[in-house]
Amino acid sequence: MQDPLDAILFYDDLTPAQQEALRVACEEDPALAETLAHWQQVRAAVRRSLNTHVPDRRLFVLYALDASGRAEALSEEERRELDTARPMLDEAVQAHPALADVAGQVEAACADFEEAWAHHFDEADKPVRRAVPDRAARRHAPVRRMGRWSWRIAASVAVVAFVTVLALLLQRDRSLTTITVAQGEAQLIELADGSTVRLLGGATLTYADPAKATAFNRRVSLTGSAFFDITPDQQGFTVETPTALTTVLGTSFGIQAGDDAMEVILATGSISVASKASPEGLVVLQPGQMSRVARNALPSTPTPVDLSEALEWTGLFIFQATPLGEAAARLSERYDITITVVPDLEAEGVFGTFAREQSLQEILTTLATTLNAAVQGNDTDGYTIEPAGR
Amino acid sequence: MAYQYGFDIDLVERAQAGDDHAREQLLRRLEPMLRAFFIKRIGLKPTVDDLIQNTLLRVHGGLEALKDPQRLKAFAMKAALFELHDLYRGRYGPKESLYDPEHPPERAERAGAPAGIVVDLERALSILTPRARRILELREYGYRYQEIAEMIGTSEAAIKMQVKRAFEKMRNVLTAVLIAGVLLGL
Repeated sequence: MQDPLDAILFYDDLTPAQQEALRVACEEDPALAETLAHWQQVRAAVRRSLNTHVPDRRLFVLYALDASGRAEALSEEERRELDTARPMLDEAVQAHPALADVAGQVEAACADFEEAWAHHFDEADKPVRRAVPDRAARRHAPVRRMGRWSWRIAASVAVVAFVTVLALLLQRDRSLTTITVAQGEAQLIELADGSTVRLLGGATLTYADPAKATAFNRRVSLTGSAFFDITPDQQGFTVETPTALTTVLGTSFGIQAGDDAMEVILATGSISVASKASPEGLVVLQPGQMSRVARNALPSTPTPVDLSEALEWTGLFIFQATPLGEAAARLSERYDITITVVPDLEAEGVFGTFAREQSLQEILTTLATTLNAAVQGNDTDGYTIEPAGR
Repeated sequence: MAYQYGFDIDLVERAQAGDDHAREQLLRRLEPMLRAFFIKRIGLKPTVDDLIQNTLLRVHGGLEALKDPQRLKAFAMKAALFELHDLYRGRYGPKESLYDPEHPPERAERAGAPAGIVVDLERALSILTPRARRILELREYGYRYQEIAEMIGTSEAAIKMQVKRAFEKMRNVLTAVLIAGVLLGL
């Protein structure tokens, strides 16, 4: 392995194998792990300081545009916003030497944009403006034509690819459905990809109509409370709420989303949660953990919760490695029917999510099947779960 | 046909009025210009494709709110700049860090640094030269070392050497503070 300090400081230059080797080395060498921790703390301190002075980079871009003499590019509303933020941004530029460089980069990017715009529109759409090539330019005309044709071929390919995206964009807007569930009610909604959402009273969900499915059917918007059971797919699935973005591959989780905060509880699988204001500050939840995202704040550190209690509001029975004896006790209490579990099976963990409208026998049979067990009895006399074939 | 900065204003107005065909035409015409812009600024094709798509989404989403269709150029420019700065902001997020997935880096950033350490870090940072601090800040803003080298007018190797020296200097301060803490029984 290369110099371990170089590897830590310039981690993103490493190949995946080198990154893995460094990770293992850090686990085995406390001194190296401490160096890594120091470097991470230094980086975090610099980043924290920058983010404190420039919490909204959009405003800094506007500030740099204004400073580069492009104030006319700002709308009236943006000018007002900038006027309010200007003292803070002036202070930020004083405190952070790098911000002058960043402003310089914004100015350079503007110049590049203006050049690209002039090349594509001022020339292409305004023939009267096109200058007559001078003698020197005419000498290079054959080369320029070749360049232009090759550019046109490349551009045509890009345009064809983009038209697909564009058509999907327009299609998406037309195919979105919004549904609001009345207070005190619950509704199960099946999405185009087979995922389901149990929407609780007062919640509003916007999603792609299954009948008009588009490539955007793996993203929904939610306000209120809902429990998601997402079909696995490499494409990922995103739930957008007023304050956060929750991204999953295939999992089940509950979300309670208001305008100022949202809380997510993961039942199965794995999800990442990020604030909409700072998408890079994401946290990853493991089953049985909860995180909360307040407006303009980072997600809270995931904390363990009792799934049964934490997801009580979903109106579902959620078992995640729950001992069968415990699951049976909850079901027994809910349905007011005696359920007996033979001692050999009491400690066996069971998994599953069930709606409370399902019959007790159906739930017990499903749980028993996963343990190669059988259910005897009925709603009147009670049920017994015992090993199959007994 | 009315033009502003070379762009067909009628097309913008029709797109704003809800004409899907005009909107499609408008976005299709912006695409190659944005591609040229982002290739010049970033150069990496998969990233450029994402930036173009996100910028066009911004234009698509904000078109109806654009009060003056003649300001399309400024509007598109700001959308492209905002996308570029979102890219910088997301470049060195937790995903690049070398941590056990069971212990996400956000813990190291927020929970791993006791209050005393935070103060010491401020002290460690204060001993850096303005140039070294500038490099670290640019990196945390989201620029690559190669891009920082171009900005500052030196080589990437020289920038990395400065980062290494700066960190070693800060580590000495942090270690000294920790030893002092132990000796004082803190």
